[in-house]
Amino acid sequence: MPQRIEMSEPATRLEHESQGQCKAAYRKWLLGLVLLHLLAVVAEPLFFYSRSDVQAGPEFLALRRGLGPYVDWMYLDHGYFFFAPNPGPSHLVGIRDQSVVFPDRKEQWPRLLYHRYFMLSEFYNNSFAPRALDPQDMTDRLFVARWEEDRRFYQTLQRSISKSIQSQMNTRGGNREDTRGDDRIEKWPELVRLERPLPGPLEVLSGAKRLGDSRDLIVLPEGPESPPVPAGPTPAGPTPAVPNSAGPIQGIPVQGVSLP
Amino acid sequence: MRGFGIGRCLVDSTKEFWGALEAFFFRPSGAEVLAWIRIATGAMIAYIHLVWLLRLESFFGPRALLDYESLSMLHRNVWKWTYLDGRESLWLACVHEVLALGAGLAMALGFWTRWTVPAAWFLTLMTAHRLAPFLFGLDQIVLMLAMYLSVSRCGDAWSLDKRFGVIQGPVLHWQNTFATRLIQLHLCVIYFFGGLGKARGWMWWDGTAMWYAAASYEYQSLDWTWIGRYETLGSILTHGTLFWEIAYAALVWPRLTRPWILVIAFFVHAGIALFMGMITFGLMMLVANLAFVRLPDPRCDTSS
Repeated sequence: MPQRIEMSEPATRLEHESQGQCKAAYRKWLLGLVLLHLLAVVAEPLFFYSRSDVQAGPEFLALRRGLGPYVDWMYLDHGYFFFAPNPGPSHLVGIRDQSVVFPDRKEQWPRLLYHRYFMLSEFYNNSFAPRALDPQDMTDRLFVARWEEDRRFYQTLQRSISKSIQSQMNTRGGNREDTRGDDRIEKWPELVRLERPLPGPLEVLSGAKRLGDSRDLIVLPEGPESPPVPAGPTPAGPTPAVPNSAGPIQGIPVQGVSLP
Repeated sequence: MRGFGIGRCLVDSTKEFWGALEAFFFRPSGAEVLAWIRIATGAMIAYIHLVWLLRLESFFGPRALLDYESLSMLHRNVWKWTYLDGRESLWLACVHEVLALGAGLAMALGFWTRWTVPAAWFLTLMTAHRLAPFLFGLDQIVLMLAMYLSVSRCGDAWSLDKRFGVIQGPVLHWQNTFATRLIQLHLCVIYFFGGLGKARGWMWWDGTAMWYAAASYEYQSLDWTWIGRYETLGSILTHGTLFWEIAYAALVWPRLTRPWILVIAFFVHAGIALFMGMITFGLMMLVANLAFVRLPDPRCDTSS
């Protein structure tokens, strides 16, 4: 009867490695880590989907908070909302009384570069917080605090984009003096948010509307009570001034919505 | 006796489950499919950083569209540390992007793969935290693939490392199975929640979502508004996409249904790439689906 030869520990390890096997002692640990990682992968979508006006699912909230640092830093914080819940209108950024700045297919090429600018314009629109609140909303202190924070961020983002655009315009115009991007540039271009509504099939197929027609662009108001204003004959044309009005906080950004 | 029987049954069942789970994650497999994913992901990482370099001043440095103050406020409640925090110089950003581009190319070529794959992932992650508002699905998929490839032995095939004998070792390795399973599971999560998100919208139920996707001028790369003439076709495609996406996580595993699910994935993502101006995103989703393709290699068996 052949005698079984017991292998020493290093020899066993070498044999495992040479066969590409995972050592049995490591497997339980690795599976534990896999479980934690997979929980981190689903933490954001579960939290995002469980949110309502009333609350977020407490267990999903706890999961998201508990794994927060890992989820955030590993870039796992996605709800995977691709064209969801519905395909919506596109949003662009322009300069008041001038033209659309981005996204612009002619200006931003290749297509990936164009898409980067497109995502920024959507982000800018999602970050919108109105200039003022409706008096009835002012009674809710939490609501007001959140609006103030969102408004501060929106204004900071607006200033940052304006400053960068001005700096690039100066560079293109050959004016090197004001191109350092610092606060010495006093007058920055006024940004406007533009929206291109999605047309119905009858409008397009009958020829009544042409996709990409700049006359369809709507200038979105900074105060939510004012109705959207058509941009006029061309986006370069003058646009009516939007009054600083109070209204419901419809423009508070929805965090976590990801675009394709 | 009856109670003992049930207990025994549960113990056996647990043992069987554990054995299957171990085989699922740790049975050694070859690196060929992961190598193809590595080549495509590395090339895409290089391209992504090349595009950032095209407008370096708009994305990085003191004149960037997203300055330090905005970035700080954006990341105020989240853990998104990056050394590219908005105060970086253009010089540093340029070096970072060139390094990332180089790491992506090295990853694609399979050069020093054990180091360049994690490096490409890390450098791209740092850029992602700096430029969060500019990102979309492409970045999610590329970072996901690079992350899992980092723990694999994807340089063991179709690589310069293999060609010049830098990598030596077993042809089959558990790390390949491990990484493949993680890609597969993550992909199922993406499709499942993507489908659930669509199920919350009325356009995906009344069949008009396909039309409104076609009518979105900013996305359009080829005009496919002709689909508006064929209402039923548009509706079938809308519902097909919705149900396919939700069912993906269940139907991609059985051998009987897997080919059909992958064929639909091909058409869906090829359509997105061709018609909706997202050739990079569509391409990378197709590449990610390769994780479910099993080569007819008698050496490896990861089907259990």
